[in-house]
Amino acid sequence: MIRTSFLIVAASALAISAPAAAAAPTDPQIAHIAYTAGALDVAAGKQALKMSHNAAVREFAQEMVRDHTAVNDKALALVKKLHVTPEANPTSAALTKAADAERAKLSKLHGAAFDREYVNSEVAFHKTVNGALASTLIPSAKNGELKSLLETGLTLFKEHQAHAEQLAAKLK
Amino acid sequence: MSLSPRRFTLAVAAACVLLPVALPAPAAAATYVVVIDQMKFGKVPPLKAGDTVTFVNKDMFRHTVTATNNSFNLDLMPNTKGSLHINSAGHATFYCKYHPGMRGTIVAR
Repeated sequence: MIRTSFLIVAASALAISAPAAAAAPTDPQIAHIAYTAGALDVAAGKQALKMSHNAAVREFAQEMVRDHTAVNDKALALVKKLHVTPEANPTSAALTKAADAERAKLSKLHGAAFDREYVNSEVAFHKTVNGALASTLIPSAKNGELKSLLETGLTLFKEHQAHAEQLAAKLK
Repeated sequence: MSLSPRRFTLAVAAACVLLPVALPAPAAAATYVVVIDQMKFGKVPPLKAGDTVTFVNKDMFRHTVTATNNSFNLDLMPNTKGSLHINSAGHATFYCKYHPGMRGTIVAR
């Protein structure tokens, strides 16, 4: 079961990286991808807060909701200031599709099985997003403020990935 | 090292400065400001017993200033600040418990 979710997320990672080879994503596309990734992780965190009774998992989920909401609020303020309209794109769609599948899968799990699957999917999700930020999104961003926000996001998400990995090791 | 944490919002902090009941610090004591921003702690300058170091969270995220040995903890929402009073000489390391890669060191002579 866990392997399946990794494969799904790995597939979305490919989807993120693919446009770089052909044409670098534009700032409106980058903004949409980053915002979508944050919103999806907020939704996953809220699902975990409904389903999990594990204190460490709940604390992690609260951290995800709090931090990703903060970044997305900042991102919304930035695109408004820059008069940029985030542009839907295949990468955002792939991320959303993978997250929808994961959410459906998690909805059928309970207790320790839910906790393990949620945390493992968080590890995979952050690896994917961090890889995309470092290799494609940050290098492609043209606007300095957007690039700076993405860089702060990458620093933050690396912390999230490390936290999720530590938690996953404890839940094994 | 012994530290006393004080936590307050920006507004309360401003009020505290004006309170006549506040105990006067020793003549040589100083207050230093360390900014938290962009997921990083600013560098804490060399301190001495009696000094106060105020952490200002200018980041968009909630952070803590938590001693590795749990001897002090400041929990700082965005745009708030908190202070540590240095009671004695020593060395302490700290981190953010929400983002453990964020680390810093306090050294007081």
